[in-house]
Amino acid sequence: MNFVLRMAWRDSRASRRRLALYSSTIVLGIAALVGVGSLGANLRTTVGDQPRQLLGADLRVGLDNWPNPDFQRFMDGTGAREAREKIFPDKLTFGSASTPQAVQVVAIDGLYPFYGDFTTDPADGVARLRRGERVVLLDPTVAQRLKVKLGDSISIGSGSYAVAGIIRESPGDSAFSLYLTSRAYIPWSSLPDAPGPAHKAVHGNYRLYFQMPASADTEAIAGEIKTRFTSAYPVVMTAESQAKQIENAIGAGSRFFSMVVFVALFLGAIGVASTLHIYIQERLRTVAILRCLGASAAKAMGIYLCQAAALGICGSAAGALAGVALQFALPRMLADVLPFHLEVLFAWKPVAAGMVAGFGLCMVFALLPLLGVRRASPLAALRDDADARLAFDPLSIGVWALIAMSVFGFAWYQTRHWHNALYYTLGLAVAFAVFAGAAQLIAMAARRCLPSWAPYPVRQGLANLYRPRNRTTLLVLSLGLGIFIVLTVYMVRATLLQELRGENTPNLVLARISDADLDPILAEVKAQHARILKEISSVEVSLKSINGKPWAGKAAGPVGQAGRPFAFPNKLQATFRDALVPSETLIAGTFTGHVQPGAPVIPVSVARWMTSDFRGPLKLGDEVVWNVEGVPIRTRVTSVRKIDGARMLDPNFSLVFPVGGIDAAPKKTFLLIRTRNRADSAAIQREVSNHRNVQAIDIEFLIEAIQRVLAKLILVVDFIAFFTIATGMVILAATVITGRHQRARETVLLRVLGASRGQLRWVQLTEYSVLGLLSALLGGGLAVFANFLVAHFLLRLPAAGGYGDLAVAAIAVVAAAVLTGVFADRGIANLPPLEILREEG
Amino acid sequence: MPPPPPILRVERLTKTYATAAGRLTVLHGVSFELEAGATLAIVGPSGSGKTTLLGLCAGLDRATSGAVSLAGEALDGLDEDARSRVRNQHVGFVFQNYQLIPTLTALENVLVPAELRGERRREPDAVELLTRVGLGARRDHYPIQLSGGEQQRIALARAFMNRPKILFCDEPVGNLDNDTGRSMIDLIFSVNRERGTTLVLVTHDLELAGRCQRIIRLKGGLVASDTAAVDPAPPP
Repeated sequence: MNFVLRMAWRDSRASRRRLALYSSTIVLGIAALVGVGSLGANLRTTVGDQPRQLLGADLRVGLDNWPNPDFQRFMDGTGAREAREKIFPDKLTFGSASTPQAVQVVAIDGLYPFYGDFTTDPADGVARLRRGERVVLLDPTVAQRLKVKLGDSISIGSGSYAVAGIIRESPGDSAFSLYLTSRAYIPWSSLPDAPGPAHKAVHGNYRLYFQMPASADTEAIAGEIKTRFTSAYPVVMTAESQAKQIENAIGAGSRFFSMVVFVALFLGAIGVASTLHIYIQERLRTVAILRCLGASAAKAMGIYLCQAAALGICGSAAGALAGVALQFALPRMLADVLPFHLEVLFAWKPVAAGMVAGFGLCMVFALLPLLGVRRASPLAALRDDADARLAFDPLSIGVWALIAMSVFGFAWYQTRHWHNALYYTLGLAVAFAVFAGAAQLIAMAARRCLPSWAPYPVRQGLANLYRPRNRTTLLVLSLGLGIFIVLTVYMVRATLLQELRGENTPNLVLARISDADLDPILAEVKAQHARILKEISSVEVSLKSINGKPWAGKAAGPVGQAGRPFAFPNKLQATFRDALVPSETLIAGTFTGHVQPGAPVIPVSVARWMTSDFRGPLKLGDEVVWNVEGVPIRTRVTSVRKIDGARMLDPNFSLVFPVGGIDAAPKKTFLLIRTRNRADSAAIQREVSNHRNVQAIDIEFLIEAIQRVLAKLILVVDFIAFFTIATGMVILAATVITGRHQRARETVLLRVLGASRGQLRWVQLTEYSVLGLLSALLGGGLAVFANFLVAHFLLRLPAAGGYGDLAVAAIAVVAAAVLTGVFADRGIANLPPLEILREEG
Repeated sequence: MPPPPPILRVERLTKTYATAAGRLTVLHGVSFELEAGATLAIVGPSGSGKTTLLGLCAGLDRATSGAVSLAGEALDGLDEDARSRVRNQHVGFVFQNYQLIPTLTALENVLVPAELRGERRREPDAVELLTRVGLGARRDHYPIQLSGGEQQRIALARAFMNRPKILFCDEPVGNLDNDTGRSMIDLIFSVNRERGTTLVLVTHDLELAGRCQRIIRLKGGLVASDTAAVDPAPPP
């Protein structure tokens, strides 16, 4: 063993516990990184291992209409076994008093699923359905809402069915998604005019499932369906292509969360640098002695570099171990959300990646304090005042560049896009600069505004915010950032819920009301004293010609993501109104709100996706003829709009006519209603149930579903934020323990000068509670700002407060900071003064 | 036969510090030479520049102007690492505050200079030196477990570990009581004589200085006098 290693080992003897503590600051970050990476790897492996179970078949073809004979012959020729579903919206009622429930009715035929589990409670539900008994299987939400029991008879449309089971598992669904869907499975044979292709009394979509023979090339068959049956607009999905899509989505999610948890690792690395800085300061005397005895700067630096490396290795190993343990915890947490049973296997790649990232970042950050060793003067052995003279080292610029490159490299590794990596690096730098700058301001303010009237312990505690070796920046950064992440999520949720629950937000939507149904429904709405917040008319149109050329309806452009060639749809829902809505932005031309009835050419506004900018057939100024319920209407494209899909309850229309254009055409009306209470809502829904084609959507249930989704998402974000805050607490403990020697000396001197234990405790309490409070206020304040930005620019909603969350966070963080700080400082007031004074001597 | 070259040559040495109150010159053109095997005391009141001169002679700091040549090597032309090598090869130190490395045992502290040179199996030499200073039995003790006098004896053993040509002592008994200090001084001179080392001693203790062959008195950064001692140290 050479001198550097030997000396590093010997020098660490008295400090190994402290070094272990320093390394603990990166443990949580690495654990989170390894945990998220491993979860992603396990998800990808599981999806890759069971693609057929997720689709339930080898091939699925979605069609708007019953397949034509050519298609049937083609599929018969492949030797595939077939199962089919017909999906259509309908209303489901139980007893005469219950409120009808809007559901997706799924009529199934054949042995779907060919792979995977389709189970019910009780278990014989699926078998009874397949036998063609007149039974219904319900998603758990539907059963809960209707409060039905096994064997109860419920009505779907005009038919009645006996409840044979509640769905527990179905291919591609998670336990969680079953609570978000409202489906009722019935046997195909119970459809009007079933069996056969003639049952067109009910309009719906078809899904055909195929189990291919072992020798069949499923991908080739899928490709042929896409090209050969283009006019049927098939949505083709193979088990492999779906698995690939899911794998890609998992990869993207895993990379996103990895980049979020990297913040915790980054904070931990800052913790390493800060604690190591204090450690190195204490070691400068030893360095000076070694330099006196002939050690070169490289050797002296090498000693502490070795210690930092050991620290990094220990931290990375402990983090990796914790991350592997996390691998087993995360799937349990996400069990309800995943549409398959996750098999947890040891994935070495994310473990190695986490360790390399953790170790690398730890070492790069460690270089900052280690540069001090390089510049340490041997004169410090001779003169006490020499050790403080640590001049600026130009190499520190290089180290900062290395840190930026490390962050950039990590982000690039995750995204493989240099510009995304650059934005991430800059974003992180800005976030840290904001927190660090604010912390500096706090320290400066504490110095300038130290209240002279306050008792001595309070003043001493406040002075600790700016004195040499203070922890203000580090702790405000680490604690504040965690709070910022948590509170931003909570406040955005509050903003969304405020919008959903606001007095001017509908709690009931009545959709597809024909002109004939409108009046009685309006009368019932009025009778129940409900407010109509918005009345939107929808007219079905189809494209007839562009600039005099008949539209052939051919496909344009390459195959889209869903496996369907990009094609202009056969039918479009258009509306008429006099202005843009908040979710729309005019990007070309002029929007026309009114036109004289009978105008020969009507100015229309189209969505961007319909234009040639986005592979569509239209452009500004085109003369377009639309078929509106059999009547050709001449129009001119006078404006193009960008439609923002982020607004939840505003239906979007790609084609907008001015008022006076097609007002007289047969239309469907959407009513967005606010009722006084659930009873009024139920009464309106009962009236609506008399109108077969009208659909009532109870937003209260939607809100509950959204809340459940948000709760799950928040759980995941909380989990990630936990690592950031916990890292902050570890850094707090590490810095307190690192500065313990200095703290002990001060405490002893104060005690020698007559300070009581109570006074010493007050000093501690003041410092830690102020640090916690300022971190909470800063993190919370920035969260309020971020919530405003998200609400204003992304959601286009008024930002909701969530100030209760802010108060709770402030109290929790102050308590945690005080407890951690006092715990780490414990016993200092009891140290015998002589012991400390002798150490100093 | 020409006289041997001096082990230490100091020429017009000036050291100036930048302070808040302006530039402060603590040494003004100090010059002297010291032949191998000689003993020199540098004395003077506090702030006279004694320690600064010692630091410059040992290559611990750079002079503002002037030159220092140690064991034939011009220090001012060397970078920090080269001066470290010179110290390791030719210089031993004894400091007022002992300056032992607190995380190393007594034996390990003594071994450091040898280990820095990459020399292996020097433990017997270190043990011999420890025994010579009377601390053979305390080899595995850490500095904190030793008294001030014992720590200074460890420092002396360490100073001789690399067989230095010159030993620099900065107020070696400044932190010790009279009895301990006296025995420490006896030990320094005794070991120094045994090993034929040149000794440069910084002190404000005139009695101690009197045991050296030569005394340089500094005052205000200038050499006030450079004289032979009246009564150099007798054999212990």
